[in-house]
Amino acid sequence: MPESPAQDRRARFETLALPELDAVYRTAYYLAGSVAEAEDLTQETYLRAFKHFDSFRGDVIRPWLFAILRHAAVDRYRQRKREPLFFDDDPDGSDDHFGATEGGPEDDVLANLVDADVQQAVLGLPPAWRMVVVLADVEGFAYKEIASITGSPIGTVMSRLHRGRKQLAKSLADYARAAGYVAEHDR
Amino acid sequence: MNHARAWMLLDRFLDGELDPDARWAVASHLDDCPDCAAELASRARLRAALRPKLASVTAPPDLRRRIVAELAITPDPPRLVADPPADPAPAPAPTPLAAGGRRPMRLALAAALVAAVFALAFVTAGWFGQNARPDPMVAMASDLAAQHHTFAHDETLLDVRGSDAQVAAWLDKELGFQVRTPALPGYELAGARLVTIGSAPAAQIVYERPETNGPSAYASLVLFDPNGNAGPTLDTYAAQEDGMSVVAWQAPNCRAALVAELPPGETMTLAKAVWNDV
Ligand SMILES: [Zn+2]
Repeated sequence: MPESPAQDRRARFETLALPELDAVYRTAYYLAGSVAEAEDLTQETYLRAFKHFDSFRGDVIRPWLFAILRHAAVDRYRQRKREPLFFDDDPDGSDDHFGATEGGPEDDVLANLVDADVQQAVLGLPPAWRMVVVLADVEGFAYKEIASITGSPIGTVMSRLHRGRKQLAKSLADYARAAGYVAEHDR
Repeated sequence: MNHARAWMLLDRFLDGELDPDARWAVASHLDDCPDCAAELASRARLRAALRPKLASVTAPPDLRRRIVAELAITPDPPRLVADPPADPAPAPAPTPLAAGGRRPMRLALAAALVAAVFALAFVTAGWFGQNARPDPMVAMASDLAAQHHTFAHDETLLDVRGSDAQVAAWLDKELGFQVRTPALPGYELAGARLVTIGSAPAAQIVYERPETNGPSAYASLVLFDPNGNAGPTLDTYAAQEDGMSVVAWQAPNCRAALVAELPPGETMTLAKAVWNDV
């Protein structure tokens, strides 16, 4: 039985977009910080994407879908009029330490950190940095793709990625130290 | 390639984001430099270890079902008529470059981003380990070093290239305050780009010093805050990070900072050459 154009469109959307569900949800979780928020955000992203599916060209849906996710996140939190924390703002108080190496905790320390520790450390990053770190280091997007998704110049992406990774490594090292995974004399 | 430059490019090397020449230059430095090689290995191990810990977050089982159910009752929207593709405008002088922030976006993405604004509110989850606020000058110098680190080495990331006059004219138009592009001894003007310092527009003027053997060295002169009321009171300040040093000062018409891949003393000497010239 031939499908109607509407069914065809829906089937094509589902074939392209649903395989990305875990990735979209995961990024939503790192943006929003809670399971409930991440679920709502993911659902909103898919509905918006479906509505705008005609504007999608090409066959690689990931950057497009993630750009919609970002917009859904921005709109959602703008509507709530909570204390504004600017998603696109780079914090002026950064944690950079001059001359520090950036490799973070040692391997055995890292092995001791459970997933939840690492996830909390990511959630502790300023939002603008957190987004690029997740897009690059979890989802594997290239700098140019991240620039498209976040609507930022590629240089801004690189700057945020550099600083976000650096702070993440430091947070993990601090966390490991506080949790007693590393002895004081190892510092 | 010297150690400081290679060190700065380690992340981009690891990300596969360097052009073949730079990639080769970093790779051959790594053969000779145990410090860079060890740092690269450490960052690679960290990333490889983090990825599965972060990717273990997966969608709840019934989320897919809910989404599919909702899609099934979502009516098909009216067909959209796409705008004609944006014309990547032919280059006037000075040349806005296609790469970097001003490159044309894919049409589909442009449509999706049409409602984009730059200052967007977002609520973060609870901050993990509120950081003690560092000295604002340390933060600013670090920010400037990061700007230099990411922008200066790749001329495709510049917004404008050309003669002094072309660069100055472009900055005048884009920046909203007048700047000069002083000559930096030993360096040639490479171009400029707009950056943001403390959420206000700033000019980053990039200079290149060709090396006889090996890649060029770069310096960035950052001009910002013409009214002198954004950010910390500025005394002359010097700091060092990742083989770069930063000197910041209050110039006659705005604040200025020079980032160079030099020891602080040499950057200071260079800064003094343009001290009142910006
Ligand atoms: Zn080295």
